[in-house]
Amino acid sequence: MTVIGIPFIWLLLFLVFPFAIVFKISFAEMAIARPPFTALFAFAEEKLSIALNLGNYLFLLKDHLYVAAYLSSLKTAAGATCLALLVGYPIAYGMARAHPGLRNLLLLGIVLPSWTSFLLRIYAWIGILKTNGLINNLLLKLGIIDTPLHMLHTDFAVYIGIVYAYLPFMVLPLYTNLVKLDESYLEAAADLGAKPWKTFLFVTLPLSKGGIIAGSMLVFIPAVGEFVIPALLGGPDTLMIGKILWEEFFNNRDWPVASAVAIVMLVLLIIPMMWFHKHQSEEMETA
Amino acid sequence: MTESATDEASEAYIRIRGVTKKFDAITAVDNVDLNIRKGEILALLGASGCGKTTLLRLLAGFEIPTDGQIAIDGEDMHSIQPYNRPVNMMFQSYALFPHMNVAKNIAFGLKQDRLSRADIKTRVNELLELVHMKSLFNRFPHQLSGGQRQRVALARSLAKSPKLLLLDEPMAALDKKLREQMQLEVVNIIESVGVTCVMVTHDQEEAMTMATRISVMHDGKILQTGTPHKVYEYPNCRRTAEFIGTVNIFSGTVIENSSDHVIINAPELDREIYVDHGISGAAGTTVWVAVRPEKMVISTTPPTGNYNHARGKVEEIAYVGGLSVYHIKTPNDVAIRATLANVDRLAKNRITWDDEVYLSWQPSAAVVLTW
Repeated sequence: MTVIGIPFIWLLLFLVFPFAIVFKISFAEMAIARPPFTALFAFAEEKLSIALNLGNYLFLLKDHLYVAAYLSSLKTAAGATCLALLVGYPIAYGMARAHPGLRNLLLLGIVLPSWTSFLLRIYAWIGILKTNGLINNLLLKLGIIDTPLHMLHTDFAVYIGIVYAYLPFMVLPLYTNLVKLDESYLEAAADLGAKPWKTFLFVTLPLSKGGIIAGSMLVFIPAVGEFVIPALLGGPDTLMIGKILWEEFFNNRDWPVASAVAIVMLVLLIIPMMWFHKHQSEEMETA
Repeated sequence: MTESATDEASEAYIRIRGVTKKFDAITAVDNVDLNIRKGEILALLGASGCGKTTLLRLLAGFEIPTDGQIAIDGEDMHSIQPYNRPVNMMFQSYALFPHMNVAKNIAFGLKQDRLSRADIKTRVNELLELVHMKSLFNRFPHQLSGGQRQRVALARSLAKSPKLLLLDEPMAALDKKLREQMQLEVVNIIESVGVTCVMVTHDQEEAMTMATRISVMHDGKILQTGTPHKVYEYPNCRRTAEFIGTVNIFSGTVIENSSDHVIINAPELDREIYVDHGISGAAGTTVWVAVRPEKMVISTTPPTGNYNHARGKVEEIAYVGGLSVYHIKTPNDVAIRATLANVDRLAKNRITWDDEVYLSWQPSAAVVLTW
């Protein structure tokens, strides 16, 4: 009984409780005080007054910046997820079709980079992408370009960073799915006259749907709220909600608005997560 | 069999010539020659690892022969990919696509041929009718029973009207009761379509029930090919005799060999063995005599005649309903099996444990084997 309870206590302490605090702050008003927001509940003269300030949420809706930041975050995350899928699928497919003895080594190769610091790895991309960085120097030396390309501090660099950082989260669920794919389905398709690419399109791809969805969710969800990658690789035009959140908290010290930003983001992310969950339970039923 | 060899070659629809398949150091199929006639059901029968599945996969095109040639309807198959062969296979696991319903599974092969939507629909309906699955056309494989899945798999492999249908252990996924029913049903469907069929099985009863001819395989080679009756009653070697059904085998040396009989001295038995056919072997050759258990006559009184006797004690009786299998041990410790049909329901006067009994058989009941 106590063992079963542990995950719930964990969730209560580290998810529900902090969420409740953030949720509460999002209804407060900014104040020059410590903590820097007004209290929700006041008890004076035998009256309990609850001051729910909806202004923060209305502010988010009215201010064009926030709406644009949300949309741009969703767009960037979706784009990066698609790119990660395009890059990750062939890798996962190759690994699943590799000799069984080689598979674990390849798997290690995918996971190994995550053993160094995330920050360090993103920072390293600056050296690769900057004006006199690795890529530009190489291209100049080869005579392919005359003037260095402007890559760092652009949305392009943000995409590269997200795809690079979250690729293992795409590859691993795809690999676990594809490695279980029964070879006899592929043989049956070939036997029935399907050329290899058709077999892939009509058999392999639909049967790996679960892996595609799982991998995409694992990349998309953290990518929406990503802060480090746009901060280091993105430019002044890169609008992402993670960055806005940071600025609200630390530059503006507007905790209530920052909390509202966080809550809205959470709601936005819960939708795809619930869809994912529903799909998974459907998958369980059919299996 | 030699007299029919030229006949066979001329009517061969599928011709397998000197086919060998090696996987690294292992030779899975070893120089196999086989002619398959149009419209017949040929069973490749053998224990696991005998190369029967590899031979089937060579026909399907999933493996390329290391050596030799496979021709279907006069066309060499060597460089033809599986997806271009006029061959369809029913997989052991059925390999029905789990994300497609029954109708879509059956239509899959037809879609690859770019038939019109209407033509596909007509053909799918024909097949659904053929395998009695019309009402379940929109079910998914996981919603079907084992027997239903098999019907869909059969319909799918027949959809493109292949020149050759391959069945890989067709009954392996079914339980015993359903197996017997499906064996006959599958044969009926295949015969009604008239497709040439090669099946792989390790179950000799299944091979005998379903096939018009059986090829017994061992160690990558075909030992004997013939009708079920022929391989059972006239096995050409000890391994075939032992693999198909049960058999008593006595070794001995030829004493007398003429065109209409052989007399063999079998040290394990009381009397010499007399067989009513000649063999190609001089006196003194070592041979083996095979006698099926159902051809043994058990009695409590000594049989008359000078040949084909044995004497022993009943060690074990296996009562299997229709039959009783007697395990009899001779004084010099040779185990002999004899079966007796239980035609009488009463159990009295029946031979029982530890009885001293005599065994005998007709001169025509035994087969002399030379290897």
